[in-house]
Amino acid sequence: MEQKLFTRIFHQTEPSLSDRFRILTEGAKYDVSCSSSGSDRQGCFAGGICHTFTPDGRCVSLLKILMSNDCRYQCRYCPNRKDLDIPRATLSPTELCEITDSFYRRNYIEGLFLSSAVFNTPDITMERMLQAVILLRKVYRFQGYIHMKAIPGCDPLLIRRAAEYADRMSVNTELPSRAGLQRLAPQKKPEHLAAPMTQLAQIWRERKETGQRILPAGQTTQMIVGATPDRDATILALTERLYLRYGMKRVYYSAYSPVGDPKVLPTEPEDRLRENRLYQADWLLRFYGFSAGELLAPGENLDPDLDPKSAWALRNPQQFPIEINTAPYEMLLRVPGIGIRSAHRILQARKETQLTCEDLQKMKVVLRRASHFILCNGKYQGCGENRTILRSRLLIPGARQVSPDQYSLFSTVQTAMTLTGEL
Amino acid sequence: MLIYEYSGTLNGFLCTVFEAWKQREYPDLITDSQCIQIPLAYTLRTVKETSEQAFRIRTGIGNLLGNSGLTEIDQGFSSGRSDRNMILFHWIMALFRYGEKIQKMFSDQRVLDFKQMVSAVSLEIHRMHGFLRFQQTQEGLWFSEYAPDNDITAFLMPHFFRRLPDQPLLLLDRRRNKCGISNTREWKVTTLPENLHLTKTDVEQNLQMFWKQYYKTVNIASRNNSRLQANYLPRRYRSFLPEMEE
Ligand code: SF4
Repeated sequence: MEQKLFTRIFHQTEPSLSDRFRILTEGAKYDVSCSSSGSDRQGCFAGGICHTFTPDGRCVSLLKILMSNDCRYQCRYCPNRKDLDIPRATLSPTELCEITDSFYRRNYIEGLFLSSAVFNTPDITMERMLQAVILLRKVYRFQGYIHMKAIPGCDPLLIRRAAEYADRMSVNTELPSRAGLQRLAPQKKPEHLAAPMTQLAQIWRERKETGQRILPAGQTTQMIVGATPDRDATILALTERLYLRYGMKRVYYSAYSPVGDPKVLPTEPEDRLRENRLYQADWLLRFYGFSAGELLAPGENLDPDLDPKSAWALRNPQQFPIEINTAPYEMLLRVPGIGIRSAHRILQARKETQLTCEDLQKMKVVLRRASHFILCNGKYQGCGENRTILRSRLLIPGARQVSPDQYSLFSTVQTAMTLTGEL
Repeated sequence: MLIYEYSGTLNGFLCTVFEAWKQREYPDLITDSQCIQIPLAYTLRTVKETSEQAFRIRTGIGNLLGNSGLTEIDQGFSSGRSDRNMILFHWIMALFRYGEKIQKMFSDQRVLDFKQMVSAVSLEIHRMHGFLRFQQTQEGLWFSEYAPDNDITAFLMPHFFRRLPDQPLLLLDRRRNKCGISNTREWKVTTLPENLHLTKTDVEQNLQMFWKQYYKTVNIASRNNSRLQANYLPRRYRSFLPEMEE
């Protein structure tokens, strides 16, 4: 049955399924619109299974695709905006299901990341996406993962229903500031973004109370960095609020690529190093007990040459050095070169023995960075407090050339996977 | 030089541990019967496999480390490393000597070797959850082949059995000529059935085309970084991936 249906669809003419498939996956590839799939890192999903890696080194785990790229809106930063003369395409729910299910059965993907341009009204768009997802779950008995974008401005009932079928949903924050949104996406009102986020947060809370299987992977959001003049401090403060207010599972950033309207937007791509630094800072917010205010003062940007933890440590010499054998966990986490796993190992191991520098090395502590901030049994092996020297020691050699996907803070494949994981 | 010889199964191996423990001696080499180079001066002890002795060792490990400890043994034993047996042996001996606190002796060489070996196996299992590809055949089976470093077919089958519940599967390890088979009700690992003929379905070709197209589309060519790609997707795994064909 699958075979017949697929063959029929496949041979349909004009524009062929294959052409539309190309257009709609192409449209989902860049990180710049609500129709896009969001940041690179979202390619990796919660289970952390990567099905392949593209030549640019990114993990492919989901089929990221648009229901349609035929948009009525005119967001200036988006490659699918209305006034552009580009090929337009739309999929039927059945077509989408056939492709997704066939990919899943061959173990090409973990699941589906479904988004769409607003191809008629927000309601009609969301309804069509919902139809596809219901068909996939109910008729195809699809067990894979589903991430669905909520189309801003659609009826809350549609979002509610979608949450019953999707594992995760997201609403784009789009841009880090209201001013930016007004200027670049005038059809999207901030209320239209906040309302579905609030609703999803509510669904998530209820789920905990009622034990219902709804939206098991919660909600995430993403924003474009570098399309507006907003500083990193603004972005991190916003990130912190998004986590606190809406219980976001992740906040994603995507460095702006110049696909928007050059009259009002930069014509050069934003440096991806900036995106990388923001992710590192985000990690510090979520797992290392830092607050946004500690990392940056208002109006500041993250230092491109240093990872944010080193930058913080450099600015706070009065907190160091700490004794590895007695310092509390929270302080261990704040030492550059000590990650969560090594901090845990230190806690465990120091119950048995007094730790020396050599022991630390075996626990995957990066001594080259950590040694300046710690004492092992009272012994200091760092380079002293001179800021210039210290700074030069903490620089990551060739940081600016290094691919942004190579996280200096988190070096092993597995941690990189957890880092990039979760969608 | 003291050499222990055993049947080649995990139980057989566990019996050598039992024997060494009982005799209070440390073999220099533990090998299954196809031992290649035997040094001139050696003592050979052939250890008979009894399920009772193996069971006692298993219970001992289970009591100290629980199920996860036993899984580590299973995974360690499926390692393709040539020094696998000795690493496993030293680990179990050390475990019986120091008890569960061995888990925290991160600086002990025996612990490091063992943990490293196990994590290489579990990394490969994890990777193969993603890197296996199934093809629909006219015979109704969904076929997949691979050539893993470690003997992990038995670890992969439960995952795919659960994940693709209505698809009869055949997972072939080309390196060992072993295969995992599922008929959707149960699965097992056996040797490759003789004169097996499988033919791809027509739709398979089309779908591979779609998949290759997708693979090409999501790449951002201006950011190519083949070193990073190779870190995550080692070249030796690529020959079975349709998207890697030119
Ligand atoms: S709504 Fe805006 S961001 Fe979304 S596809 Fe349309 S133009 Fe692009």
